[in-house]
Amino acid sequence: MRFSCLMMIVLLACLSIRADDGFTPLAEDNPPLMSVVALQPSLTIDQGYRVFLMMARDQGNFDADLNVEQMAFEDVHAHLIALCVISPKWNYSPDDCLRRDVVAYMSASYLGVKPGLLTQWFGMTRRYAHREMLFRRIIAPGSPRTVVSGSELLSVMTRISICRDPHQGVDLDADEIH
Amino acid sequence: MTDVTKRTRKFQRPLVQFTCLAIVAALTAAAFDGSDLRGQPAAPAPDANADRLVIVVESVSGTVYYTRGGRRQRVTIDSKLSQGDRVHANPGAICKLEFQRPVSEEVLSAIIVRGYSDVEITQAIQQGQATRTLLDVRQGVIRAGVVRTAVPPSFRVRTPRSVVAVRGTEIAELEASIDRGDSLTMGIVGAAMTNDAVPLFRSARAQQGILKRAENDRRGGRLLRAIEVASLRPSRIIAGPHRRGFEVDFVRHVLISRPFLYNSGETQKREGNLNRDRLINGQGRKDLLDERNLNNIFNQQQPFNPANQNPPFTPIITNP
Repeated sequence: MRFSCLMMIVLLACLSIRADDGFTPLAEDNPPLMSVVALQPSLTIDQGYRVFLMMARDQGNFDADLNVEQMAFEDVHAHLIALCVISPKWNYSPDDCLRRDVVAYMSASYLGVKPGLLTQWFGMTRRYAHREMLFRRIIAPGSPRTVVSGSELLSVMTRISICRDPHQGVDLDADEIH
Repeated sequence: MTDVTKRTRKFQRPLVQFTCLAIVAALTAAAFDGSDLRGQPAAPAPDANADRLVIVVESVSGTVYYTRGGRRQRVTIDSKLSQGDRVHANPGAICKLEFQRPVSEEVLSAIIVRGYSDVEITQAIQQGQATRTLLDVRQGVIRAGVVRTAVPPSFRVRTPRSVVAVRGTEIAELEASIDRGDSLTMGIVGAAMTNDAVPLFRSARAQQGILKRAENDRRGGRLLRAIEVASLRPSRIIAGPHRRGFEVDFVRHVLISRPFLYNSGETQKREGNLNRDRLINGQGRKDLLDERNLNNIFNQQQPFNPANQNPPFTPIITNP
């Protein structure tokens, strides 16, 4: 009996060792946007738009000197509309939460996905974009109306960048690409 | 029989029990190191006479940073990385690194970091002819190739969920993500095969195969090219378990106060999902933006209000 009690106490003590004990993140005055985004449990529309625009810039869609972090939200919005990543009808405010179906719509637009015949005629919707992105394994399974964490968004962005340009950074000849 | 009874009775003494349990607890605690990848066993300590490998940036595109001693710097072609550095790559970026011996500059291994990646070079040392490389990948996509040497090298990649060892000439791509777990794609063992010379297959590894690279055609250049053009096939998907608190995007002190809220499916419920009311087109709860308020609301205390300023949000009062 005493042994069982002692064992229980020791096990509880072991379980109390948490993953984040002793972890102290680096203190920075002006951390980059990605470092901020990666630690967010939920993102805003403003952060999501900026991350997308940074990826488009890094992939050569915009000038490399485009300072996305210092731009006004209206400019970010205009750039994404010019890139046909978001719908011009959207009027989300910068503080709104970023949802999975919005991320799916932006991903599908960026990848140039045309999900189906009706969608080609009547335009893509967030719901079907979400289903298409699930099918293509870009987005992990989940409800389209839930919020996206920073790390999840960055995982999705990584898959998008690889899907968009699988041979980026590889100086292959045309006959070598298989 | 008598001896067994004596030993059993001896173990029933409280002091012996306590000593045994203390040893168990000490061993359990020692199994975790001080990094924030504490789910993994501690990296073995290097000898005092171990030399650090030289890490050369072969190419970089997009925005890639490295952190050394708390200072963040941009990775360029001229950057020299070493053990202890932490590399952050933005989505859309790509960075190729080569690990070389310090004196002879012989290339031992190469990696390609792609997309948003958070990679820490925990160990990159050589002791005599043996080399040991340990990379901690919290998130991201990494492709690695290792040259087989006379003394088999140790090349390991750790994620919050798994440890992947790359053997000589084997080529692998590992994606560590929070939403879908880890996905490991392997090259065909021994060499990466390309089928662009039908009916013959060409192997691509350190010293044979694709010899396309013209300038700086050293051993490492060929290895890097072999990794670039490797034919990979899905081999293993490590979908779980997601270890609580090991992923990078959890607010840690909120986790400490009420860890179950983020991990038990409670986020789908109104009372468990703090952001439910902050969804698009929803009514904003501005008071939840402040993390101190978040903790107070968790603990059912008063909202944080320094110096009796205006309350963070004003409740709507309707006239009767």
